[in-house]
Amino acid sequence: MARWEPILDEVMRERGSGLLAYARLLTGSDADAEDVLQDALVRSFSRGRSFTHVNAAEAYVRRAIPSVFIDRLRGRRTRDGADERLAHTQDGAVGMGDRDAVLDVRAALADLPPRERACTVLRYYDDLTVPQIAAQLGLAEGTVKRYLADASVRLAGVLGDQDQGDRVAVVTHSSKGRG
Amino acid sequence: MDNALGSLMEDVVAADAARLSGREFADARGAGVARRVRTRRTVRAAGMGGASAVAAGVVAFGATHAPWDAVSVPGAGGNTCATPWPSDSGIMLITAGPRPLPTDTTWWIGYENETGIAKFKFAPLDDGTWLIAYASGGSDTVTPTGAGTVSFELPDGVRVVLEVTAVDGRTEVTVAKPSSVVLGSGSLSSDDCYISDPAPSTRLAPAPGSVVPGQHSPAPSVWLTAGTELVQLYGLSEDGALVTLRRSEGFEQLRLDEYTVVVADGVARVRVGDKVVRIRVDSEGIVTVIDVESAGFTAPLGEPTSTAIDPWFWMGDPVDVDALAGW
Repeated sequence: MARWEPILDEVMRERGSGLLAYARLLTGSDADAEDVLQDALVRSFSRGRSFTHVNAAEAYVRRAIPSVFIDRLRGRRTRDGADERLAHTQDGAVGMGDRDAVLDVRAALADLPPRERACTVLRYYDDLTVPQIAAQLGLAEGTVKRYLADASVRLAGVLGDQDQGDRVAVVTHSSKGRG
Repeated sequence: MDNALGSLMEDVVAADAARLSGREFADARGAGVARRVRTRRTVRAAGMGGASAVAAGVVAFGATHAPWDAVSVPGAGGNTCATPWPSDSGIMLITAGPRPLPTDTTWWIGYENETGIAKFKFAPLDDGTWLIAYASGGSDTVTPTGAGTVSFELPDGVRVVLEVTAVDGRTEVTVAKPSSVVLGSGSLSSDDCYISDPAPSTRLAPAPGSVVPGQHSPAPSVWLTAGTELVQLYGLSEDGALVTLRRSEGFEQLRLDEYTVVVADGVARVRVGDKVVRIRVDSEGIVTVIDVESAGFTAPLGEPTSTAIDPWFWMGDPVDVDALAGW
C-alpha cells in the first residue's frame, strides 16, 4: 500500500463528517457534498504530495472543496436540476429538527446562487479576505465583492435584522479594500 | 470568525457533521477515490514530457466514446508505468514512459482537459527561468515569482498560473488555474508507480528498417479525433517499435482496428475502419503517406507527400531510433 493510502482512508473516516458538512454548506445537498468531497480528495491526493499527517491532508482537502465546487459549476455538471435539488434540500433540512437559527441560515444559504454562496462561506465561515477568495476560486476581486454584496442583500432579506451588521460589514470591507 | 453569520454557519456545519458519517462515505466511495488517485498519480509519474514522449513513442490521444478501461495499453518494458488516463470529460490519454531521456530536459505539457489537446509545454532552463512553448506557435521565457508561481498567457488569451514546488527532491508543477488545463509531467518516483501492467517485455525491438507485417498488437483501440484536420497517432508496440499514422484529413470517429508496427525507415500499413493507409517513416522520423486502400482499391494520394511530424507535436524532434531499438 502506498504511503498516501492510509492517510486518505483516515481523512475520509475520521474527518469525513466535518468535510462533508463543510462541502454541504457550499452545495446545499448531501449528495452534491459527497460528489464535491470525492473530487476534492482525488484532486488533493493526486498531485504527488506526501502528506505525513492527517491534519495536513484534511487542511488541503478542505481548501480544495470550494475550488472543486466552483469548477463543477463551471463545468455545468451540476447545473441541470440544481434548482430542484436546492428546493429538495430546503425541505429535507426543515425535516431534520435542527435549531431554528440553523434552519434559517441553511435556508438562506440555499437561497443564494452557488457562486454567491461560495463567496459567502469563504468570507464568513473561513474568514478569508476578498483577495484570498478571489485567488482560491479563480475569480476577479471585483467579482467576489459583487457576489458578497449581492449575497448580503439576499441574506438580509431572508435573515432580517440579524445580519444587517454583516451586510454592512461586507460593503465596508470591500470599499476599504480590506477584503 | 468574528461575525454572527460565521457563528451561525459554524452551527450549521456542526449540525451536519453530527448527522453525516465519514465512515459511511469511506465505505461507499473510498475505493473509488483511491482508484482515481492511484491512476492519476501513476499517469503523472509516468510523464507526458515532450522529450520522454518522443523517446517512449507516446500514443497520441483522441476523443473517445468507448469505455477507457476497454482500451489496452501499448506495451512497454523496463520500469515503465503505462496506463490510460481517464479524465472526467471522457478524454483518454495513453502514455508510456518514462524512458531514459535523449536529453537532460524534462518537459511538462499542458492539456486542455475538455479535449485532451496539448496547449503548451514548458521546461526549466539553467538560468532559473522557464521556457513556455505554445502549441499554436511561439514561445516565452518566464521568471517564476518568489512564491514559486509561473504565470503566462496563452495565445488565445487564457491566463495560466502554475505552481512550482520541490517535493522530496523533485520538481512538482501543478496548475493553479485555469481548471480546464491538466498537466503531464516527466518525473517518476517508485512510490508513485503503482500500475505495473503491462508486464515488462523481454522481447527486443526489430532492427531499424525492418517491417513487422501483420502484427496486430492488442493495443490500442483508439478513436481518432473527429473534426480535426490533423489526425496523428503515435504508438509503441509491445516490441517497442514505433507505430505512427498521420493524415491531413480527419476520419470521423473511425476506430483504429489494427495496425502494423514499423520502426523508422520502414513502411507501415495502418488499418482505419475499412481503409488501409500505407505510410513510410524515414530515418529522421519523417512520415510520408503513400496511399490509402479501400476495399481492395488503392487510392493514391497523388505524389507521396513527405510531411514532417508536426513541428510542435512532441517537441518536433525526430524520433530517437536508437532509443527505441534499445528497448
